[in-house]
Amino acid sequence: MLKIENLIVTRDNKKLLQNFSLTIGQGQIHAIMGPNGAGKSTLAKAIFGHPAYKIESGQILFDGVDILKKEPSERAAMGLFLGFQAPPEIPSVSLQELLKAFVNCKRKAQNQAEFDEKEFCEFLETKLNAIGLKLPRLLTHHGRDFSGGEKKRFEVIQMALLEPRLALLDEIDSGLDVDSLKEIARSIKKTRNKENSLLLITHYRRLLDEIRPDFVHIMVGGQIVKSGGFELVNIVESTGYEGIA
Amino acid sequence: MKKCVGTLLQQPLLKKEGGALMLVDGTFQQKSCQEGNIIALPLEEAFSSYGSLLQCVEKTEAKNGLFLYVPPKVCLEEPLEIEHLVTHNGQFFPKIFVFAGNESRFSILLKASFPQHGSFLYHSSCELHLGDASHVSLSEDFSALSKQNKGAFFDTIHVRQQAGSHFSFFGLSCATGEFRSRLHIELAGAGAEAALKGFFAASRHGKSYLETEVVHSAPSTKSSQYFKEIVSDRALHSFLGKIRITKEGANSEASQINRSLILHDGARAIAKPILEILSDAKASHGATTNYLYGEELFYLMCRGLSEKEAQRLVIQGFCEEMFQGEERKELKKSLFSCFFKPLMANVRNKRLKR
Repeated sequence: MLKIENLIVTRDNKKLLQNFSLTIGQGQIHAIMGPNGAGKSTLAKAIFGHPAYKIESGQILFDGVDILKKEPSERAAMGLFLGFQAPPEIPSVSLQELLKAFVNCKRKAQNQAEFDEKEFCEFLETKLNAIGLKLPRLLTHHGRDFSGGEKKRFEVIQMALLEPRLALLDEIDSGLDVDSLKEIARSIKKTRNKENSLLLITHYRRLLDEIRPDFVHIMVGGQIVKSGGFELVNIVESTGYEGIA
Repeated sequence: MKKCVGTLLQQPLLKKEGGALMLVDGTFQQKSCQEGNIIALPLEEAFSSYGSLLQCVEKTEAKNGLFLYVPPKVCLEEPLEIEHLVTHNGQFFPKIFVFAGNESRFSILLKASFPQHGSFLYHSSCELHLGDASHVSLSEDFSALSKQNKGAFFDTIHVRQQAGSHFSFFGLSCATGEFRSRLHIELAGAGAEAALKGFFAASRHGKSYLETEVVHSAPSTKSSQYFKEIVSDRALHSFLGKIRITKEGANSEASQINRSLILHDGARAIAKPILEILSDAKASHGATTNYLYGEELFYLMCRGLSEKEAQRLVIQGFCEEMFQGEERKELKKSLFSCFFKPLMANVRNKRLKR
């Protein structure tokens, strides 16, 4: 499904990813772990074409198609989803308005009729019930200052509504208390099926205890230094990243 | 108007004659009128009848203009409209003097119209004197500047507030030529409050300058300033905001926020806050300048929105935030018709800053 080969990425002439390669198959869950500054978030943004990151060489194929020259919106239309570590707030636009715009954008790209307000509300309610997440006060709120947990919930709800084929979740667990983490992990699992794939980027094992990955990759200094199964999580826990690198 | 302690006038001044108090090429030419003791006079006439109120004004410097007096405890339901109309090229220096009697309540909407291809210098100077416990709101709609790029329009507001008075200001301009606005507020009576807001757009080769000075010269006074700017093409916006709390301004509170959004490579925004605190008081300020291609745009595009759709949402949100909880809906309408729609037509053909 996703194939990254020998990717070299720079920002402001500083090399952040070095010959990075990774293959994710259909229906698989991958996890990338690594210390601060390892290049995990750079990878997520490079996959989505963030303009601040320059691809010096290498390729990213999604379903065999080179996506490097595509706009982020085109990558999203192909079925990619990026859950942000620190999602920005769009002032004066309610979350419900945003969600409706995102869903209708996808429907438009798939030549489906756009939802009107009533249809969208019904769709939203069905999806929220399916993943067991609620946004009581948030949906019609126009302001700023959402808590970290609220922002992460909103990311997962977007993922559920957009039904991506490959979701990259960049530190979806950061800043969450134990109960919120379990709630969000449960919701993510409910979006899973045999067709879609997941890439979890995290520092800690607690998310991976909830969502068991098929493959674990340890990333240090802009490249994968070790790949394996869940046993790598246990090694990181006991020796730290230094023990692996 | 929320509360009226005295006479409530439902028919605003001159509405019967179908419009605003007009200053044509800087001169108030209408006949003097009086309604419910509200007085509107050409400035020259006012010097002979109301010389005591105007004793601080130099007569030779203030020939053309408008004198407006709202007596104590008079409340007006609808805004008083004042319009500057420029009909030909030249230099014009009109002055407006507004006297708000104690406990009066009213609002003023100040607008301007210009010839599309004219070249002129127009300097409007407005002085407001707010009596004890009066409430005055001033809205300025200079969105018409968006269609005029050869003229220079200067706007100077000076407000002196007595005890317990409240002044609220909302300014709107869309400069494609040269626009300078200077706001000087003096909170001279205990407990006086001023709330200043403004949205300034500058595009093409427009130059927009905003200078504010809020002086707290009496105890327990409050002021807030919240200004936003959008700068596009090769335009410039400069903000110089000063808060001064004198030794007499103990227990006062002041805040100042300035936010700029830059759309294109050649556009510039400058913000310079200055705080001078000479007594025990609270004061804060914050200034941000962001480029349109920030994380917000990337985030929206990652959700499938095209670059143009994402730009529209971010710019619209930036503009609309200014009008949340704002009663002056007419300004929002002006902003969207004179600025937002042409801008969005423009971004179709132009790559925004990355």
